[in-house]
Amino acid sequence: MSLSSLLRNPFRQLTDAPVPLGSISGSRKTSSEIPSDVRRLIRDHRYFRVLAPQKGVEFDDISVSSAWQAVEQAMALVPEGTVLLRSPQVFDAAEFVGFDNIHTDPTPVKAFYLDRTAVTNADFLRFVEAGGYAHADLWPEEILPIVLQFTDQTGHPGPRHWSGGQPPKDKRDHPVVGVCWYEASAYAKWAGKQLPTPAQWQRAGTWMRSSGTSAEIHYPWGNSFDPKKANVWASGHHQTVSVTEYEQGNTLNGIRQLIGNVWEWVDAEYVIYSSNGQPVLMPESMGEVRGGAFDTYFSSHATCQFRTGKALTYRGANVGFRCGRGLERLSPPPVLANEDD
Amino acid sequence: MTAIQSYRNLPTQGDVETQQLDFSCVCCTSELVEMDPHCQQCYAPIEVSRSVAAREVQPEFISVLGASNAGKTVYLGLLLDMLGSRCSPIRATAQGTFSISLQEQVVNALQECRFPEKTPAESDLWKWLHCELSWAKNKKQTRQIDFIAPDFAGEAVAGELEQPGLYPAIGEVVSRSRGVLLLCDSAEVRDSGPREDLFAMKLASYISELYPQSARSKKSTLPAIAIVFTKSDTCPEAEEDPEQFAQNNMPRFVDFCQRKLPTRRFFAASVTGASCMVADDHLGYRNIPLHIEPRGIIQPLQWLVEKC
Repeated sequence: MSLSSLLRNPFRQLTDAPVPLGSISGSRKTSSEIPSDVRRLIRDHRYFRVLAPQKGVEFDDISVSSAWQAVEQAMALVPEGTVLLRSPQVFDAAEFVGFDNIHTDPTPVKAFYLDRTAVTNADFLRFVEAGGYAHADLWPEEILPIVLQFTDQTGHPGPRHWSGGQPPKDKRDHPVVGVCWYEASAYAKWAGKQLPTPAQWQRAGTWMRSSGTSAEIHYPWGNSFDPKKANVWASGHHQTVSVTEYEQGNTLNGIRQLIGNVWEWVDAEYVIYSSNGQPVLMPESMGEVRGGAFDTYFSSHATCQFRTGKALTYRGANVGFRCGRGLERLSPPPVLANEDD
Repeated sequence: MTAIQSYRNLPTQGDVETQQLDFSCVCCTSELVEMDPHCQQCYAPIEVSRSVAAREVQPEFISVLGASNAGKTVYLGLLLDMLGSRCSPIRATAQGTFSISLQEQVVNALQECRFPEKTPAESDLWKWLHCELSWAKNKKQTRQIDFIAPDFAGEAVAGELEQPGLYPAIGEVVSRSRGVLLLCDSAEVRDSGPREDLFAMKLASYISELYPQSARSKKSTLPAIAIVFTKSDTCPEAEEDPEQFAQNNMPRFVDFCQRKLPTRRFFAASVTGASCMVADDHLGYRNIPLHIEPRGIIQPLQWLVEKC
């Protein structure tokens, strides 16, 4: 089985059945045949609501097939494997207190889907317009009292730098920023997805050449930094760019801007360990971020391995997110289901 | 004569004392003699004066002042590194390897997620910079100046304020500066009551007292003062509106500036994107930067050179 077919047909891994390429698109239907509620879900990038429906809800083959087409377009399959996570650790040597990311044992990662781009302002607007900030089920109970504070410049629910509940018109295709870890998680939940784990995020950027060699690549394109392939401080923009730019930095399966443009929230609290048991004080609980941003100064802080954090309620201009989803409990594409029969 | 002196063909100690250099100290204009690595009056490194003499360009001094732990070393070292980038609006070219030492010390430390060691209080251990700054004045013209900036220790600045003349280099540099970068730790300003306000006012008073003649003649030769609230990543109020932050938290200093220092502006700057504190058996708590994302570092200098 070729690599491209593996990436296009993840259920090959699950069912071990021969899957002809294009089998999903072979069941393409006109949009008028797709129920309107499903069309809306797909438009809002909530296709996993169709592919992993709640108990008692069923969708027809046309809807499932269309949802799979949307997944193929918007997300990339990252093959299973292992990553070498580094553990942030403080050490005390004589009179010198230092900090390093210490290698740990290989961490296994199952195959999963990851958004090809960071969630854009246009994407996030749909969440806002759907009343995401008022939907209590999307937020942890302990955070509900401060959700009201997650407003834009004009007091409307939404990212910090928006105005009147709307993103800047010229930045609709930029990654959404000014959202804290909780807002990112709420969006992911609404979309039927999750924030990627640190291991998943790292696997997405390093799977290409990690097998057969002991070392992971530092960047999706190799080991040498190139400011033409990622929007970091040295690239000179000093602000976000469209999620479609810096194409040269894509992974082989078409994931864009893992490195640079914005830090990305992942599904983990950022904890620093101490080699000698010294207390490590943080101003508040931190969430882990990955990949560096337009203002990241050192390229060594914008690698696939570098782990750092921001306060969970940080709503800065340099942190966004993308979503992922494991393959568990997904309805297989209708053609596959027929073949299995 | 020792073997090493013979090998290097260097003069003996007796010869050295009489061998006067053909350039004077760039800081205090004292005569300099060969083999002394520092001026014996102000302890400025001779290599700075040699570098200036070789350029044959009258340099401008810029003072970087502030209390201990205000972030002067990190600010100055990172500023120089950023000015070396092609995407900076002002470009700096270091003159002499000594000018790169501070940059090297700061950048290596920050890259490894730690802050550099504190600047020692002894003036002969301070690092100095001599750089050529160039920037586009307009579409056709590029302007260039040589600038010199020493990295003073905060303890020395405080000592000089208490007892003027204790550290001659500070007085000499400030009195010759066309621009002053006055750094204040924004979180300290917000949280420590009037202490930072009063210290900044003392500094401002010290600066204005070094320019008595200009005050009498009512012609402003006072240096332009860029007041920079450092570590603003930990103090969003300072980042949002530095001028308002100053008025709210440093009323004495702001009032003094309005009366005595006409050319001034407030800025906010930060170097880290996040940091944590770690207990240290020897020094209490140590701040550790988790990643570096500089903000507002170049703008104060850009404003100063436009005013100079």
